[in-house]
Amino acid sequence: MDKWLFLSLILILITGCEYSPWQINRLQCDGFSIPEQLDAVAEVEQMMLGSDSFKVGFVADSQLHPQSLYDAIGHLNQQDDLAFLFVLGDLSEMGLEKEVNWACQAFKRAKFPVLVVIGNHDSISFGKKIWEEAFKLFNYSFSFLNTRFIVYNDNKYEFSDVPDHDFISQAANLSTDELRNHTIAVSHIQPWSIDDDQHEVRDFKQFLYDRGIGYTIHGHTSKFSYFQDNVLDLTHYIVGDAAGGDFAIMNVMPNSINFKSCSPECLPAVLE
Amino acid sequence: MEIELAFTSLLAIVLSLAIPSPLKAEINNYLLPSVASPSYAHQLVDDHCAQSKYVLTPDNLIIQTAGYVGFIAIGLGWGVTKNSQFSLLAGYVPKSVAGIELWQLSAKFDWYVFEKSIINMSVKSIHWHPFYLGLGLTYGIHDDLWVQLPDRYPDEYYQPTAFRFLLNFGSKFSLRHYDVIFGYSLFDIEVFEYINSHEFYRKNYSFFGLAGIGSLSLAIELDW
Repeated sequence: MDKWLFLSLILILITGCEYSPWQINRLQCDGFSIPEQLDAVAEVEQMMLGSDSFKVGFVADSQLHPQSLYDAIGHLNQQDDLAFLFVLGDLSEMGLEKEVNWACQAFKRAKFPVLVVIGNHDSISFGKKIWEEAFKLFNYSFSFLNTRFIVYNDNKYEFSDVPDHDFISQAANLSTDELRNHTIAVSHIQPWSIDDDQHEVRDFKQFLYDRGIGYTIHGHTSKFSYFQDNVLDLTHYIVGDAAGGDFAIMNVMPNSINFKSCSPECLPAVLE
Repeated sequence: MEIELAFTSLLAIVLSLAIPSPLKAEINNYLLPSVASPSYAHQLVDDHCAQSKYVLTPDNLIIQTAGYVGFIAIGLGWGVTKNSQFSLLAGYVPKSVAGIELWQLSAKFDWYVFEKSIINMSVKSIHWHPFYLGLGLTYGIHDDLWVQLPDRYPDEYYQPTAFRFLLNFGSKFSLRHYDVIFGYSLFDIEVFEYINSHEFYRKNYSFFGLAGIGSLSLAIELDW
């Protein structure tokens, strides 16, 4: 009896033991890698073939508040026709595995695919390794019902040579016989410069515009914002942070896009 | 640079504990004049000399696994009062068990609430401290962790990534010169998020949500 008690105790200790706050080998995000979720998005597209409009959800900056992420997903679950959800970065505050695990646990509540975007906080400590292991990709693109989504990494303090202009250019290219209504760029931070160089910001916006991108969607600033560039026909939408109970819904139609900012009541976003 | 800072801090803490008791008595004289009669101060000195023991001398050797201080951590403990202890530990985390390899330095202060004798005989006795509460700080030594924000960042862009505060609970069994300690530890973000998002943890993890946070630990102390 004593031996069984001792063995049970050892087993409890082994399974319940964490050796370091910084360990990275107990990820619990199975099934939420970006390639797997893109497969799920493709299945949703198959089911929606023939539709000319669809809705996409957005949540951003849920670090330190998994409850808020969980609640936002709960609210979005009530949208019958939501195709998929973007989580616009900063799943974690300190780039720790436990924080990412809690976010993945919240994702399990979703009735739709969840696509993640890397944020600056996700990239510190061993966050890059955790991201690669859990989600696989820092940049990716896909098409959904004639709309092209280009998701790019723009965390300049944490990565060198980002955003990847070659990737964005290639992803924005129109294939032969492709019908495309919109090209939408998604990243954690709106176009920005480490040195606060407005020429650099202007050049990047011009780069996006020249590649046919009409909308960009971001998080990071923790408050809703919806504005058009004062020179280019390029519209930016910033999602408020999940900690404040914010999330958003984008309605994509063949000739237009509109947004609803939700806290959690949803109101139409108005261009500033 | 960070390793030098860590060891200098560790040395400062150890040296601060090495204040000889006669000097402590003089300090008490100054701070507590009501009890600092010359005879009292001299008695303190005599008591110390009789024991011939400096505060620097640790009271036990500690070996611990898990509890966020390392896969294996070895350290020293100093009894502060009859029911409290300060410990310093050096821990190692191999890549094979954690996915990354790093060293950790940890400092802990634990307070044992009360003691109960389970078996009390002249030959052997087992004492049980049913519950202890402690605070700790663990420092991760790795190139990807920092104490001071790298120069490329604006001021206060991030908090230091190399430190995590710990909250420790547990129970200790003492048999002669050996103590076995079963513990449960939380690091700062876990405590914050559990308080902030307790409904999320209760709905998604067992044991009132505690299965989603924290770590068990096992330590053995050899008393000197």
